[in-house]
Amino acid sequence: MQPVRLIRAACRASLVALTAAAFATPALALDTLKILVPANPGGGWDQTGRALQAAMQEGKIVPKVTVDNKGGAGGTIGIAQFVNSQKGDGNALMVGGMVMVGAIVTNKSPVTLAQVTPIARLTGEYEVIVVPASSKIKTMKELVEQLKANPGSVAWGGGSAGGTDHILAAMIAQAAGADPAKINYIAYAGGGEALAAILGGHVAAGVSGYGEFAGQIKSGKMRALAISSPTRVPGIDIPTLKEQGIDVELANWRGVFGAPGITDAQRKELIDVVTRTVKSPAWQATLKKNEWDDLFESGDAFKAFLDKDIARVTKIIESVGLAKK
Amino acid sequence: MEALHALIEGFAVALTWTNLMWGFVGVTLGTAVGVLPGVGPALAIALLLPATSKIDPTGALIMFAGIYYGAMFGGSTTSILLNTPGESATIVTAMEGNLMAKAGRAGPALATSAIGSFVAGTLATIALTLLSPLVVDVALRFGPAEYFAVMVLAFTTVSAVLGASPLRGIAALFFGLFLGLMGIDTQTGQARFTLGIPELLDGIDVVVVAVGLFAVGETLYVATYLNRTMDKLEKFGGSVMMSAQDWARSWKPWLRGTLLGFPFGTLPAGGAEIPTFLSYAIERKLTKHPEEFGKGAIEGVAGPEAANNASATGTLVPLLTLGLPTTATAAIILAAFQQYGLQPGPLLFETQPTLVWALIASMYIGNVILLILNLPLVGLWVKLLAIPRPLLYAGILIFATLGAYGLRNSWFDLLLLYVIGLVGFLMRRYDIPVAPVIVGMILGPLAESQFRRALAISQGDLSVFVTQPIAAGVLLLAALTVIVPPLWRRVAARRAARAA
Amino acid sequence: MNVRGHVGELACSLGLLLIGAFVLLDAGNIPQSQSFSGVGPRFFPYLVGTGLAVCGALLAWRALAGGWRAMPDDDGVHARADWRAFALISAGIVLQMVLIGWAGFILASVVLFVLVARGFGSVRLVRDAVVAVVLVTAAYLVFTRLLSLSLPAGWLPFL
Repeated sequence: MQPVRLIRAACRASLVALTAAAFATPALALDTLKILVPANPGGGWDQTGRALQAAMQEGKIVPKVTVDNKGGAGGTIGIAQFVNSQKGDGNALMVGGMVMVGAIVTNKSPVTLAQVTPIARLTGEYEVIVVPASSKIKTMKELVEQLKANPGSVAWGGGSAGGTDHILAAMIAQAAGADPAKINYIAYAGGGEALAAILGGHVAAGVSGYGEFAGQIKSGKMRALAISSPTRVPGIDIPTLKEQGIDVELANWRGVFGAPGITDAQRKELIDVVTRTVKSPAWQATLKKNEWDDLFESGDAFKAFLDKDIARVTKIIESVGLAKK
Repeated sequence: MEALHALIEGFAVALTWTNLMWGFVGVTLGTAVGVLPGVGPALAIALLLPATSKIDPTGALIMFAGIYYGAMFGGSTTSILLNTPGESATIVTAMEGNLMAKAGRAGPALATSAIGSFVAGTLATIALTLLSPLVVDVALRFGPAEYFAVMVLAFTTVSAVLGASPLRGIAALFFGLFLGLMGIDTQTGQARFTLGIPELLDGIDVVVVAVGLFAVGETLYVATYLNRTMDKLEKFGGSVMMSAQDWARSWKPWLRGTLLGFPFGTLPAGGAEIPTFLSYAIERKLTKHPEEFGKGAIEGVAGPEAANNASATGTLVPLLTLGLPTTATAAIILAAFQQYGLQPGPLLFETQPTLVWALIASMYIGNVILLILNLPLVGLWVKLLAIPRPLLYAGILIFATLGAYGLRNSWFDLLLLYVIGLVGFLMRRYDIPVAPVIVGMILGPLAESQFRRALAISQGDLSVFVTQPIAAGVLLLAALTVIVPPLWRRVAARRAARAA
Repeated sequence: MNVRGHVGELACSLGLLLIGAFVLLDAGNIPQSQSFSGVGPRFFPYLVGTGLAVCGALLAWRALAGGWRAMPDDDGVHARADWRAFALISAGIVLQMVLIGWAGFILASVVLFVLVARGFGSVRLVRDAVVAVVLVTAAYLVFTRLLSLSLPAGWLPFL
């Protein structure tokens, strides 16, 4: 493969030189880009990857972008492949997110996010805590009190065990002074199934991304007790956990990563390409259409955020007993 | 009656020549993509969705309904012709459907599937139009205890698939349960029986198992034991149309399949797998031609296909009224709605009545188009089977491997496919039925997680299964399905003895 | 029924028994975590393992005591096995598994197609290869071009 890559690099160099010389326009930073989506087609990461592809090609930021799917085990199979086969490749990106941080810990993945190069956080969604409209519980305070008095009686409904929803429930228990290992968390296959369990009153409380519950909250079938954002989200009339005395914030973010072992120049190039893509009208339209919150943050800022997130997620997963140290 | 009036207005919006053309385009694309290996309805819709974005909302919705029905029918087509089900809902169709194809009756199998889908889709859409709010209230009462009771009922009912020797059938069932255990435990996140292989963390895909057992195992068996002794000329081909007898044997299974499929579809954790298997089991018990089951009985295609389609329509009930996507396909449909600025949920019927009723009208129209387009194609599909056997089986294996590989671009899935194919080969050789493996794999994990969820919510109190009226009632019914048939036989035998 | 058939039946039964034993033993390695249900991740594995082992033991006993019951009596049972065909098809799948990521989907699948056709007694190698190339290339183009799903190109990157 080495000779092929050399030839490709040479071609690229001459192409760049040619364009620069002939047209004296800003040179194309990258002519091709491979985006690895560590999930099967159709899900959130896949949408993110394909939306990036569309925005990059439409905005002529990168002329040829391909998307590869490599799903399984919360992204840990995809990241293993990315680290093993893309080392030093400046033309490769991988989509990832908060779910991956948790999956790496619970699945004891040998490959971790510390091995790849953080490029940018793109989008995210805050989580909400809800109860059925018929529930006796009216405020977060009442929920926390019941949790402290009898943890088993608060059955939390949410997504997969060890996922974002589970992590948030554990964080709330911990911040409220209850034992996070003793929460009665009922894992459902997807947001839809959890939603039905909450609407039917089969569980006491529910945790999920805001988008999943938005329709029910607006129609009054569910009561939102709190949102996991640092400050109130414009347009969403739900008090934050923090203003109710629970010092927890959590965003289910999605971002992109570069290959391990790329040079600083390559990293800068990728950050530059992604930054320009995020500013493009195509990407902004996608955000609006999918109701994704823009959480763009790149380079060192993203790296600092990521390190902090990994540390606290790892700690909470261990304290819930999902991963033995 | 308000609903009826609104529906008529929906038709008025939907029925234009341009929209009908989009419907035909949608069905054609959907069928073409649906027959591809590894591309089930969910993925087909996801892939074709961008194609609808440039059309006005009503036209797009009709095209979309066409893609949906086309993709579903495309999946059934490959199940019947090639024994390579593309998704779990058509596994049952492959069982009797492919046997019919081998007996030279691929035409009637495809026809009963197409017409059954049409009948079920239309009836289920009528039910959707009239009963949605009512059905949703009942569906929400189903909690883990109720679901577990339903799983128990499913287990006791599908005993009909156990085959000639109950012991071998039960052994196969346990093997399926074992395959279902592999992967991450849903309730605690712990890995089970993954042998340290990361690819196994998500468990084994039931489609890989079905294609491995059906297509790969069968191909190996035919090549090893039957190929040299088989007639040079296959009975493939045969009649294309359904005979009067086929019609007489199909219409009741269509209706029963619809009655099973629709309510299961509306349940948030229902899905299409259980009703298709239940329909198969019931048809096998009720048929006047029990000797044909296992050799290609038309009831075994007609019932499950109707159940599959009715269940798919049923999933739209929680989707439209609650915004609840309960299957992968429904999740994609939700994304499609959002593309048109529709937010499914409790407020949908109030805020967007025109578009919703246009959508429901589109579903009626999509069903009709599917029938018009695909019945004439049946003859063409059947000719596909007339190609020489070496090429046909080679093509089947290309389909099978592409479907397995395409799931996540992993050679590991090909290894899995081959190993399961070897198991299928042995099972065929020693007459161990394969259907119980699939039943165990599908029902096992569902039953386990619902059982544990119910106990977690009740904090370990087992009485939840008998104190909730629905759960207790369903469990009682399950007990009756076990106790009554032997009792009945004894009574009948005594009566016969007295008469003699 | 000949004795050889019973040997196969016995082997299948013992295989099942072995899987059951594995499930029962390995279930002990699943970490138990605290749960309010009182039923942890080991409960069902123990149930299934026991079931497998019991079925395996019963089937083994029947195989030893005159063979399994209610066995069918069709062509396949009496035919002599064509292990060459079995080996050719197996080789096709295994080769595809090995080649697909390296030589690419098209070449790997053509090899599979030709070997399976051969296993079914086809001697028209050229016809098989031509059909294979057309079918597989068409499938490749539909997946990668029309649906933008990726399949490995391997040695044919120009496609």
